[in-house]
Amino acid sequence: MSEYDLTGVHGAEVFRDLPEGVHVHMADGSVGEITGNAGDGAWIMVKIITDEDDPDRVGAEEAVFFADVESAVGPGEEGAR
Amino acid sequence: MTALRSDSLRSLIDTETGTISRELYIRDDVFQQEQERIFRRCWLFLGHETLVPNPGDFVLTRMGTEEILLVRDRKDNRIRAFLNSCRHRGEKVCRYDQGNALVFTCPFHAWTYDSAGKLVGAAGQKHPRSYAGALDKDQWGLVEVAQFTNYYGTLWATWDKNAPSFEDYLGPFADSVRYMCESSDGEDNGLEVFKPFQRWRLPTNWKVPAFTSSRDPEHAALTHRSVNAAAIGPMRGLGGKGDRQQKRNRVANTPYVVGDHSLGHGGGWTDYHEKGIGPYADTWYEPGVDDYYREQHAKKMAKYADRIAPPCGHDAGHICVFPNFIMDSWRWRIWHPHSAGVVERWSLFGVDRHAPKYVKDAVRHYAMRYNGPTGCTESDDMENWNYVFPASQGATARQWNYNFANGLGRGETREQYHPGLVFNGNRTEEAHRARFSRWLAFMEADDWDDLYPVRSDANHRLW
Repeated sequence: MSEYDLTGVHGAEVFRDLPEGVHVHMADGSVGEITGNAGDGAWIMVKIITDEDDPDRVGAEEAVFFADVESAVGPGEEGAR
Repeated sequence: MTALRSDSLRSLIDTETGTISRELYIRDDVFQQEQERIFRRCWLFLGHETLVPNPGDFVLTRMGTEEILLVRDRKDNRIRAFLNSCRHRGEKVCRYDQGNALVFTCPFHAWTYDSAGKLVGAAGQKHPRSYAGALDKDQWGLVEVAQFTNYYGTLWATWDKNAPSFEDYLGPFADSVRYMCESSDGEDNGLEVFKPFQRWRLPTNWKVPAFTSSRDPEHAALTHRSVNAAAIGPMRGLGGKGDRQQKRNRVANTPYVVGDHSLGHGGGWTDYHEKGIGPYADTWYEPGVDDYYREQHAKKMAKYADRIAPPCGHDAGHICVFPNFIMDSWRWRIWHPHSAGVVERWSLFGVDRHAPKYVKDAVRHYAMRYNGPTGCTESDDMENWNYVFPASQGATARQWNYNFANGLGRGETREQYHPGLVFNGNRTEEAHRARFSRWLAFMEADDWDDLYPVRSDANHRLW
């Protein structure tokens, strides 16, 4: 299964274990690639890949809070989403 | 906070009789002023670089009563030190003693900092009904120390940007501190420290051990009589008759106790009259350990063949770096104050970085059986440290001064050093008195302009 299930009581555990390379789609419409996971179920480090509203963000690395992530898919699985 | 009046502080020290009021140890207002004027301005020992060898490694340490997050940055590999307190509501951002982390997240409102101390996220940072992107994260990073230095592997910091450089702060003791960071073959920064390090709390004022256990030769005769008789090694024949000297540099020398009344440091000081390092003496019980150290010692002898050894160090007894750090080449001991009557002791033990495991194990085992609450020697010391404070704080007890008069008036200065550096007999309390000279200078001074530089004619010597 290419998409990670971030919902429900197990969603926090899934988020906690998201590996580097996974792509995350965020609530503001941007998409990024995980570069590090704090392993606390709350924060991941993400390199921004696309952001139609703010192209200057592309390439920047940001800390992303779990509540701002809508979905996560494995690397190379964008087309299957 | 209103500072205590100078005349009030000076009344606690009787320089004529060489005595000190117990009030200086037990009063809360004195303790609070020490935190403001000493622990916020002095260079303080934070730890050793081998506590955080990899990017993202961290360890919690202390500066006075405050907790410090010591972390090696994941990007530039630099070690930095921050106040362990979230800028939002003050919660600890790190609640583990040591580890490795990608970021440090405050559990209260999820304010999150990277390993450079920068605020990188907060709950609701982008939410339109919360911060809506208006939180200026560049302005809300962790509070970083004003100055930080890595001195041959040892890590030091001060909250005061106007403090002198660390090397200037050490003054005539800089070479000795460097020497104590050498491995047994004489290489700079050749040590690592064991993890985790020893730590425990004692019910006493921080100055009881920090000011007077370096150097205090007269305490050993009775306090350590039993453990010396037991000969716990590595000074295997140690019977309380100076056999420990076998471990030391046996070239012609004259030992002193030195107190630096203008900088506060001091302890054992040995003038070596010849170049070089003396021969190695077998002292270890464990097989092969002496073979290792004998080989390393030969390298050190070659390096020092044309040099006179520094005056302090393992070969010459330990010293105190003002205010709360006592050092020799195998033990680095820090006294962190918590309150007027509680101090937390940390002990870091150095060992050659490149030593084989059986050597490291032997050193670690010796450190454990000598030091700390379960160590044979320091459990003796704690009998004294622990009971000084409760026996001193009563309404009657506090009226009777402590005696610091051993060697009073017999110290001498030397032309090549500032007049505050005083040489005295090697069984005197000169170094203890120097600590109080500097203690008073810090407690009275409004800023570093009154504390440094130490001019050639400067002399903060009280007694």
